[in-house]
Amino acid sequence: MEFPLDHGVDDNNVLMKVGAEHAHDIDALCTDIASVIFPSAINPPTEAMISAVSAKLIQLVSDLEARLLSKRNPHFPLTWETLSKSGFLREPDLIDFALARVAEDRLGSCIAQDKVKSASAYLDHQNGTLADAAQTLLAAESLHRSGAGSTYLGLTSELLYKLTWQIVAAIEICEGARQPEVIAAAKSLLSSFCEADRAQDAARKIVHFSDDPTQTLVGNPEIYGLHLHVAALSADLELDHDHILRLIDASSSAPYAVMLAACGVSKTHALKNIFLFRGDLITPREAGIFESGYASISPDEALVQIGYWASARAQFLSGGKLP
Amino acid sequence: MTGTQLLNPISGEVDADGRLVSADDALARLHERAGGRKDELLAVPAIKTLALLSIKLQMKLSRAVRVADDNENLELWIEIDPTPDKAKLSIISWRVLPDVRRAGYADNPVQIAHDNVMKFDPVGRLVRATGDAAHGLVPPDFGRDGRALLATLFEAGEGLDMLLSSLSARKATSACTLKRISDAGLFHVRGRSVANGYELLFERLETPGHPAEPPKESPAAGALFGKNLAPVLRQPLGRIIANAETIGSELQGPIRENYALYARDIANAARHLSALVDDLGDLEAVERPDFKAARDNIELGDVARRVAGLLALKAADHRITVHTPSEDILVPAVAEFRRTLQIILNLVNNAIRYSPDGTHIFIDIATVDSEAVITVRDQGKGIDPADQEKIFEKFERLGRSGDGGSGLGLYISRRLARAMGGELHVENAEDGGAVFTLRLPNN
Repeated sequence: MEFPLDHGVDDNNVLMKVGAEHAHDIDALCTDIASVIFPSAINPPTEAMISAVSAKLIQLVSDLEARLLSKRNPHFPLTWETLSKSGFLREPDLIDFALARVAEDRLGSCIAQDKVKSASAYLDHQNGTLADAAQTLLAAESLHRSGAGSTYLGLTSELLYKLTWQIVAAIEICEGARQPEVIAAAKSLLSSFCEADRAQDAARKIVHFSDDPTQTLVGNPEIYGLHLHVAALSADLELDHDHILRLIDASSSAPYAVMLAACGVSKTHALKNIFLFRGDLITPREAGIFESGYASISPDEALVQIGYWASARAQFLSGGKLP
Repeated sequence: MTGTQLLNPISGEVDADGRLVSADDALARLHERAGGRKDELLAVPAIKTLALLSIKLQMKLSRAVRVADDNENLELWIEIDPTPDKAKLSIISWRVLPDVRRAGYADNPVQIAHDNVMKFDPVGRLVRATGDAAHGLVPPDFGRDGRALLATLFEAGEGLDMLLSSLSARKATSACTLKRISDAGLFHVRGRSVANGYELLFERLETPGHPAEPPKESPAAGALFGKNLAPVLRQPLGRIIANAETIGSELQGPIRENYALYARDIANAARHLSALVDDLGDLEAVERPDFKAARDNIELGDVARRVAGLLALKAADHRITVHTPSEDILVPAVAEFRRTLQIILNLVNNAIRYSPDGTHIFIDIATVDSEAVITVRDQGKGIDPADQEKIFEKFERLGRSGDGGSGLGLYISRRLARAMGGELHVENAEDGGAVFTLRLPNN
C-alpha cells in the first residue's frame, strides 16, 4: 500500500531529495491555487500567480462561451459566475492545465525567439508526415491560434469534452431550460476539434518521427524551442507534456536537473539549460546542490524517481483516490 | 520491423465494446500475440483504451502509444477517427524502441531489502507500509501522524516509548520488541533515518507454541467492504451511470422519449447504489472500535462555503438558495476537515432533497460555550419531535422510499461527530423547518 507522499528517495543525494520535494510541491500548489481562487487558502501562493491562473481560466471559459453562444451574444458572458460558484473549476486537472500554460508563457519568454529554428528546420523534410507536423506546430505556436478566442484549442480532448459539457449545463441552469442549439454548438465544436493540431501533440509527433537523437532535442532548447524540448523530455521520460512544463517551472531547479540527468544530458548542457530557463531565479544554494549532486545521479536512478512523480500526479489528478 | 513511418498505414476498427472487428495483418497479429482472438476484445489495452476514449468523446485522437510485443517495446503512432459506434484506427508508424533503461526490469531486478516496512515522511506521517507491517491499516491511516498511529497499533511499553522517541528525533534505534494489539503478533522492530524520512523494519518473531502464521484478520479487517468490495463495485457502477447518462442526455442523437426516461432511471438507480456503497464503506469505518478522526484546525465558514459551492447546481435545479455565513465571521474548530465537510454535505443535501422548491437553506456558524457550532436550517415541514432521535438510527427512513436515501447518512454523520469529540442533533425551527446543529470542540 502506498501513498503519494512517498517520494521513494532512499539515497543521500541532496539534489534528488530536493527534486522529489519540489516535484511533489507542484501538486500542492495546484490545490492552493484552486482554494485561493474559490474559497480561502491556508498557504496562499503569490498574487501574481493567482492573477495569472485566474486570467487563463477566465479566458478559457470565455472563449468556449463565445463559441457555444455565438448566436446569442446578449447573454454573454453568463457562465463564469455559475462555474465559479459551482465548484467545477476547482477540478485539479483544469487548474493544472492553467498552471501549465502560465509556466509555458514564462519559460517561452526565456528563449530568444529569433535564434530558435524550432519546427521550421523540418518544414522541407523528405518525410511528409514530419513536414506536416512541423507545419502544424508552427501554426499552433502562432499568435493567431494561441491568442484570445482560441485558448481552448490547447486543451486536451478529455478536458475540452468535460469543460464544454459543464458549460452547457451551466448555461441551461442560468436559462432555466434545455438549450438544444447550445447542445448542437457543443457537438459541433467537439467534432471539429482534432488534437493532432495542438502544439504539444505536433511537437510529440515530430519527436516520434524525427531521426534526431532525443539528447540533441533535450539538450538544446534554445535551438529547438520550448515545445520540442518538452516533447523530447516527455517521450524519453514518459511524463505528460504539461507535467514537465510545471516541473521545469517549479520553485526549484532540482526537478528539472533530475529530469535532465534521467535523459543522460551532460552536466555542461544541463547547466546551460538550467540557466536558460531559471537564470534569474537560481540561488547560490541551488547552484551548490546541483554542482555537488548532478554527476552522481545515474539515469536509471533518476528514472525510478521520476516514475514516482508520474504516479503521484496521476493519483492527484484523479482526486487523490487510492487504487 | 524496425523502421519508423509505414508506407501504408495499418488499419483496424474497434467497436464501442472494445472488440477488434477488423484489422490488417500486423494489427491482428499484435492482438493475437497479446492473447486476443478474432472478434474478441482488443487485447492491447493501450490501443483499446484510446479507441474507446475516442468513441466516448467523439473526437479525433492522434497519439503515440507504447505497447509490449514479445520481447520488444514498441511505440506506435495512432490516429483514430470515431463514429458513434466504432473507432477507425490508423497506425502510421511502428517504431521498435531501444532497450528501455527502466530500473526494475528482469535483467536488473531491484533488490527488496526488507518486506515488512513502515515508512514516514520528514514530519512523521505514515507514507508507506509493506508486507506484514501493513496488516490492519486502511487508506485513511496513510498521511496520519505516525506516532499516534503506532500508539494505537502496538501495546504500550518501554519498547514503544523508545521507538516513538527515535521517530520524533529521526534517530536510528536498535531492535526493540513490540506486540501488535490486533493479532497479538510479536515483532522485532528497528528504526533508521533515511533521506526523506524515517523507516521502521519489522521482523515477526515466532513464539513457543505459537509459530509465525499469516495474521488473522481483526474484526475491523474482517468486514472488508469499504476496503475491498466498495472499490470493485464503484467502477462498474460509475460506468453504468456514465453510459446511462450519455444515453439519457441524447448526446449521440435523439432516441424515443420513453427510452431516454428509462436511461435516466437507470442512471438514478445506479447513482443510488453508488451512494449506498459509499455509505456502507463509511458505516464499516465508523463502527470500527478503533475508529478515530484526525484533529485538523479548520474554519467552519470555509466548510460552509465549500459545501454551498459543491451543491450549488443541485440547489439551483430546485430553485433553492443556500445562504452561507459572511466571510467576516470566523469560527475555528478542531476536527477532521474531510469528515466535517462530509457531515455538512449530508445535511445540506438532505435539506435540498426534502425542502419544497423555491425555498431557502441557511448555514450559520457561531462559537457557543467554547464550542464551534454550525447549523443547517431549511424551510421544509420539519421533523416530528417523536422522530428527532429516531432519524439518527441505522437504516431509519421514517417510511420514505424511492428518494435516493439509504437511511445511513445521519447515523454516520452522528458517529463521525462523536468521533471528533462533538455532537449532532436536530430540532425544529419556530417557523417549522428542521435545524440540524453540529457542535465541535474548538481547542
